[in-house]
Amino acid sequence: MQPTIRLARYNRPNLGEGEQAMSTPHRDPFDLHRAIYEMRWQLGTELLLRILLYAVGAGLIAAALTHAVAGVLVLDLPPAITIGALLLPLLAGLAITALCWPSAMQAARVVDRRFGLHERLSTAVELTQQPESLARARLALLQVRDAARAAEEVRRSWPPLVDRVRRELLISGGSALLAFALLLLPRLGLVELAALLPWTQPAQPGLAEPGMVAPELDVIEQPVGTLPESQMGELHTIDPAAAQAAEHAAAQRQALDRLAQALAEVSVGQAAAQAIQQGEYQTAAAELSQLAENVDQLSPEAKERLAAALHEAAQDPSSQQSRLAELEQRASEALTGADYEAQRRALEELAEEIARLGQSATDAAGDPPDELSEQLPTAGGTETAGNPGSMEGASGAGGERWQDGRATAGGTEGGSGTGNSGQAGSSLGPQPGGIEQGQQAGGEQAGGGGERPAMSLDHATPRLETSGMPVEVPAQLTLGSGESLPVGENAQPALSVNSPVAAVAGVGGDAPEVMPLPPEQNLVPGDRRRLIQEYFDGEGHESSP
Amino acid sequence: MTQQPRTQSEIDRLRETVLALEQQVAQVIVGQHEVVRGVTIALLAGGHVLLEGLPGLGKTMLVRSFAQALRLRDSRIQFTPDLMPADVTGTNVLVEREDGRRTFEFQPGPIFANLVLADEINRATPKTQAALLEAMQEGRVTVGTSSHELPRPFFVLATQNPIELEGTYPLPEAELDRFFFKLQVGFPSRQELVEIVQRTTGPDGHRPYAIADAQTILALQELVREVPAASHVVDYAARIVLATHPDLPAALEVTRRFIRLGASPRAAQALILAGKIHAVLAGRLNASYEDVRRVAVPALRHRLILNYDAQVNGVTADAVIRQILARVPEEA
Repeated sequence: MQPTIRLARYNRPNLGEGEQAMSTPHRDPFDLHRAIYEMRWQLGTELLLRILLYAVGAGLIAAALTHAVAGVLVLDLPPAITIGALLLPLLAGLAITALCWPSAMQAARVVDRRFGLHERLSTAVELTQQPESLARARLALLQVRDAARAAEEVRRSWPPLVDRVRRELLISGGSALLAFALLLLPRLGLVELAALLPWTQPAQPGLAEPGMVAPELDVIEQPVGTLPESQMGELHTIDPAAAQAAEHAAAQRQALDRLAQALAEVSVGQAAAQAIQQGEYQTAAAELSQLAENVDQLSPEAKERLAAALHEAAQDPSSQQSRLAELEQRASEALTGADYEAQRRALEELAEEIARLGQSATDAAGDPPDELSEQLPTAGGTETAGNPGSMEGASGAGGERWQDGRATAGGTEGGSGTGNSGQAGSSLGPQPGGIEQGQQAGGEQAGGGGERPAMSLDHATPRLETSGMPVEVPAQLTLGSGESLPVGENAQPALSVNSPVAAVAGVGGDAPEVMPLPPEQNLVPGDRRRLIQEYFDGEGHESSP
Repeated sequence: MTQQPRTQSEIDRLRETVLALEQQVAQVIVGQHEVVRGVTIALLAGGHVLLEGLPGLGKTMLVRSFAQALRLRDSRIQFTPDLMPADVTGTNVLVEREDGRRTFEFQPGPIFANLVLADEINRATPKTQAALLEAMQEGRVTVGTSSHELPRPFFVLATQNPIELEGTYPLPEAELDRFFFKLQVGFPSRQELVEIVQRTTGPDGHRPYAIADAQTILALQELVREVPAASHVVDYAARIVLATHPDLPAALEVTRRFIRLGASPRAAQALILAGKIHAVLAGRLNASYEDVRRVAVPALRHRLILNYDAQVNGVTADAVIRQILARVPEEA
C-alpha cells in the first residue's frame, strides 16, 4: 500500500495572485521540472533496487536449482554455471532498468497515481513540454504552479527507499531461504534416493567394488601383481616363474591404468577409461574404436588434450609395455597432426592393443601355473587381508582357481574365493552369473556341503555389515568341486579365517571348530605363517590336490 | 495574439458563484444535491439537461429556482400530444402595418428564453420534439426561410416521466444525444420530505436571490473550457466511449451482451468538458481520471441504447456504465 498524501491544502490551492504569476511566469515550470527530475532519479533508483532484488532472488534460486539437479543427476557442475546462474539475472536486471528508466512523463504519472495527485503533475508536464499549449491555455500557468507546489510537497514527504521496496526485500529474502533449502536437499537423502534411479547406476552394478566386499573376502582380492615388495620377494623365493608372471601382469595393469587415466582426462575418452578400469577391455577397445571412427568430430581442443594425455602416458618412465607405449605415442603424434585417417588408424591400433592385452590377461587368468595357484592363497591370505585394492585380471585368476575348488586353503579361503570368482566373472562374462557361480562354487567347496550364510554380491554387501562382527567361516578343507573331506581320522579341523592360530591348534581334533573373531583380526600373524605353510606342505598336504 | 493568462481570482470567483448558486437553489429545493450539481455543471458547460423523475418531485421548481438565481429569462412549455412545432419555436403571423400593408412578422415562441423548461417532453409527437433539435444544437430556430438566433445562454431543461407510457413518444436518439446530462430525480428521504412539507406549507416561501446574470454565466462557460486536460485523460474518456460500442474491437463483454447502440462522440466531449468543470469545482485546475468517472453516468446513460436482452433482464444503463468504468483501465 503506497502512502497517499492528504491534499486537503490543494483542494483550494492558494496559488497567489495572478499579478505575481505574471511577474515570474517561468519560475513554476522550472521548479516543476526540477522536482520531476528528482522524482525520476528516485523512481529509477527504486526500480533498479526492485529489479536487482528480484534478480538476486532469481539468481539464488536458479543456482540452487542447478546444484540440486546436478546433485540428483550426479553431474559434475562447473563453477562457471553457478556464477552464470547468479550473474545472468543481475545483468538482465541492469539492462531492463536501463531500458525502463522513467521519463519525465512516466515519473509524473507514477507520482500522480501513487500520491493521489489527480493527474496534476502529468498534466503540467505535458503543458510544459508543449510551449504552444502553455502559451495558448490561459489556465496553464496556474495549473503548472499548482502542480509544482504539489510536487514540492510530495518531494518532501517522499517515503524512504526501504519502505518502498519492502515487498521486494521480503520476496528476495524468501527466495534466499528457498535457495538455501534447495541446497540442503542433497543432505536430506534425496541424492541417495536418486542414486537408485537407473541412469545413476554404475555401468556394472553387479560388479563387486573393493569397498563393498566383506573384509574377509578382500584377503585374496589383492592382485598378485600389486603385492608388496616383501611378499613379492617371498614369492620369488617360492616360485620365480610365478613371481615373474605376477610382475608381468602387474606391469600390464599399470600400463592400462595409465592409459585409462589419460583417456579419462578428456570427456570423449571417459567411456573407454571407465571400461578399462572395470576390466572390460573388449568394451574399452570398442569404445576406442568408436572414438577413432568419430575422431573427425572432435574439437581441436579435445584432440589436443587427448594427445597430451596419451603422450604423458607413453612417456611414463615406469612403463614396461613398449608396444602399448609406442602406440600411445603414435596416437598422440597423429592427434597433433591434421590427418584424420592417420588419427583414426592410430587409435584403432591402440584399441586393438588394448583388446589384445585384455585377452592375454584373461587367458592368463584362465590357465595359471599350478605352483602359483598353490602358493598364492597362502601369501594373499596371510599378508593382504583387508587390503581393498582389486585387480580384476589377477584376482580373476585367483577366483578361477577357487572356483575350480583347488584352493589349498580350502574352507579358510573359500569365502574369499567367492569374491574372486565374481571378479573373474566380471572379465569373462555377465557379472551376476559369474558372481553367483563363483559364490556357489566357493561356498560349497568351502563348506563341504555344510550350511553357510549366503552372501550375494548382487546386493553389494557393504563392508560395514561385517566389519566389527564375528565372522564364522567353516574352515573345513575340501577336495574341490564341492567334495568334502571324509569325516573321521582324515577329517580336517575347522580352520577359522579369523584365528589361524586357534585353527591350527585344533588340528587333530574331532569336531570342526568355529572361532568367532572380529574381521580386523582376520590375519595370520607373520610368525605363524611358516607353521601354516608347513601344515599345507607337510602332514595335511594329503588333503590338497 | 496570446491572451492574458487567467488569474486565480477568476477561478475563485467561479467557485464562489457556483457555491452561492447551489446555496440559493438549496433554499428552495430540499436535497437532490447530485441533481443540483449536475444542472450546475451542465449550465457551465452550456449543455442541456434531461431530468427524469416522478411527478411532484420538484423538477419544475428546480428549473425555476435556477432561473431566478441566475436572473435569466425562463419559459415553460408543457408538451402534449397536440403541441405543434410552431407552438414551440414560434411562427410567422400576418401583421397589418400602419400604412395598410400586410406583412409576415415572426412571432417568437416560448423557446426564445435563456432557460426553457420542456415539461414532460416525451408527451409531444416526434415532429414537435424534432423542433427542438436545431435549437438545442445550434442555438437558433429556422422558421420558413429565416433563422432566428436564440438568446445566450440557452438551456433546455426537459423533464419526462419514466412510468407513464400511455400516450408518450420516446425521444429519438438524435435528440437524446443532444442532452448534455440526463439526471435522475429520486424520491426524497424522510428528513427531506419533512423539510419539503414544512417549507411549502408555511406562510411564505423563500425566493432565491439572483447570484449571477447571463453575462456572468457566459464568462464562466468560457473559463471552464480553458481548464487543461492531459492527453492521457482525454484518451481515457475516448476509450470509455469506444468501449460502449458492441461492434468495435474495444467492446467489453458487458457491452456486447447488453448494448445495441453505443455513445456518440458528443459523449466524449461531454465527459471531458464536464470533467473539467468537476475538477474546478473540486479545487483543481486540471481534469483527471476521477473527474471523468464521476460525470460518466449522467453523461452516458441516455446515450446508450440497450438491447432486448438487457430489458428482459432488467439491466439498466447505469449498471452497464459502471461495469464499463470498472473494466476500462486508466493506463492504456
